[in-house]
Amino acid sequence: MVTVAIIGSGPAGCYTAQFLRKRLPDAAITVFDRLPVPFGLVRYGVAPDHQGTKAVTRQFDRLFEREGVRFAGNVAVGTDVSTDQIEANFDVIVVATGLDDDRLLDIPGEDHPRVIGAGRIVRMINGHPDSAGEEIRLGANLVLIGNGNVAGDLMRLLLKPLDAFVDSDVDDAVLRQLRGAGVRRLEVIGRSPMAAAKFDPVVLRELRGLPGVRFDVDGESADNPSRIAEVIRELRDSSDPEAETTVVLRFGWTPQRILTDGGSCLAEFVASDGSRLRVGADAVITAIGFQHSSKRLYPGDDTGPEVISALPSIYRTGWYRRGPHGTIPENRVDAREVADAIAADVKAGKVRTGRPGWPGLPEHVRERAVDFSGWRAIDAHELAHANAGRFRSKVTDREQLLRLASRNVVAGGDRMEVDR
Amino acid sequence: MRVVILFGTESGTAEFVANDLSDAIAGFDDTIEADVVDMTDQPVDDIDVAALHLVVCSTYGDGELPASARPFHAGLERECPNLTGLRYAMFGMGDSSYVDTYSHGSEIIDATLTGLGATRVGEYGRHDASGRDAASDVALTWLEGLRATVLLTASER
Repeated sequence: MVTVAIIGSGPAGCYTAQFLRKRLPDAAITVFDRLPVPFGLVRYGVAPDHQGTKAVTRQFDRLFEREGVRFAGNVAVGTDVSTDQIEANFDVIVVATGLDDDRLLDIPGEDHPRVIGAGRIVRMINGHPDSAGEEIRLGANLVLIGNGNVAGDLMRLLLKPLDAFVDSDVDDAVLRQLRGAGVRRLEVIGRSPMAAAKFDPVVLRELRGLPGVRFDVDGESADNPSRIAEVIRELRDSSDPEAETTVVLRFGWTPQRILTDGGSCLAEFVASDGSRLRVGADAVITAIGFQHSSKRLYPGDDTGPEVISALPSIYRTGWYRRGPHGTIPENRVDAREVADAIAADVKAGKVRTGRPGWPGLPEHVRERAVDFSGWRAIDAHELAHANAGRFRSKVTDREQLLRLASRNVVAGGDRMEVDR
Repeated sequence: MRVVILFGTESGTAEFVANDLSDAIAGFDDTIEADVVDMTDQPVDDIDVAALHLVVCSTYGDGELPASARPFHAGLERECPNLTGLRYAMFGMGDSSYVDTYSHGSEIIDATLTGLGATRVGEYGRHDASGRDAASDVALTWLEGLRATVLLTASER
């Protein structure tokens, strides 16, 4: 029997557990998360009005409820338990912690408080415990730097009427606070030419028909035949020319610096022909990807093969392995490759087995863990206490999450025994 | 006669549903074995037209086929195998918040199979990821409507 610790219960970690369960049916698998709740970016990164995408967790529920994979929430590897303790107790370690931090523009002025990472905003809107109590008022005139799906999500989240969020699990108070009196002008500015913009067409098509929003486009070549250009033209042509709120999509502008004066910003850009663009705004939002945080567990190469270390056997999967590219299904493809590599190494005898796994961890670590039935208690509470018109209202206070989870342990008696 | 559950998936949910359908069919009659096959692994020149096929297919992106269905669909278009006599039931998966393209992936496969001479049987099943019901629950209800077809097929020699 091989014991496996997967660090991170987002899609990369859960898909890896799923494939490992198939490849190594006898493995005792524990999936750790630093938060008391599972599913990482599915819960805290996928937009709250994309419940269909979040439904992927139904696959993962089964892993924990029927297939003997242990969830150990509220255990931060590196803090609550050391990597040495994990390495001493598990035969295989898979790092699936993703990429925490907003990627920096690396230009002067971006350290000003009115320059705000998209990840930070998305976590707030999604009720992330680390954002609880955080207050940001964005203002009426905004610059959004980035041309990917996170920028696309933010356009929708900032401009869609609140009553169109039916059956989402958006944090309404946060969304109201962010929007304030409403966004009047949003300049969405990307470095690439339009044809190379990274938006998925489907994300832009969701913006069609937003009431009260007019789309303008700058940097378009009228004969641009690319699919994305076609979708952008449709977006422009179908919007209401009289609308109060204007979104300007600009392409081919590289950010140079951000000047700030108290509560307002002036963002400067340059085009490949040397021409310059200056845009004033109440805040600048950056949505140019994600990067490793300074607290990452195994510093070293940023991307590369799945193996971090042969002995002890440490692997990596998902964004932690590949960088911040690709959607949930691409992490599934990645997870399959990593699970195949692990299973091959185990079968070839390259992994030293015999470590005890979960039962070998110190008692204070095991006691602090929220198991899957604890998460189910949180889940049931959030669904039962959903605000009117919402699918779920998330609990954002860590202590309350822990209380909800532990109430279940007392009420439910024995914990579910999941180790095989 | 065989029952084949052929799935096309992107995020794994269609595979998950396919496995649940297979388990449920074993529950109808434990002598029936329903083979679960990924479309990617199904050679288009080796489709068993005598077998009842339950096709489970999701939708991805802008109403496109999911990754595991793409090579299969391209193969069907290229090779045009004669599928006369093939009976299949269709379960499509999508997300109704994408109004224009909801469940479109399965419809692409459906049109191609029909165009090659195959015959769809039973209700066209659909699951909406934006709804509150789990895909497997909806699929198992859909399968109940096909119970007689499955049992009759399996009893043919």
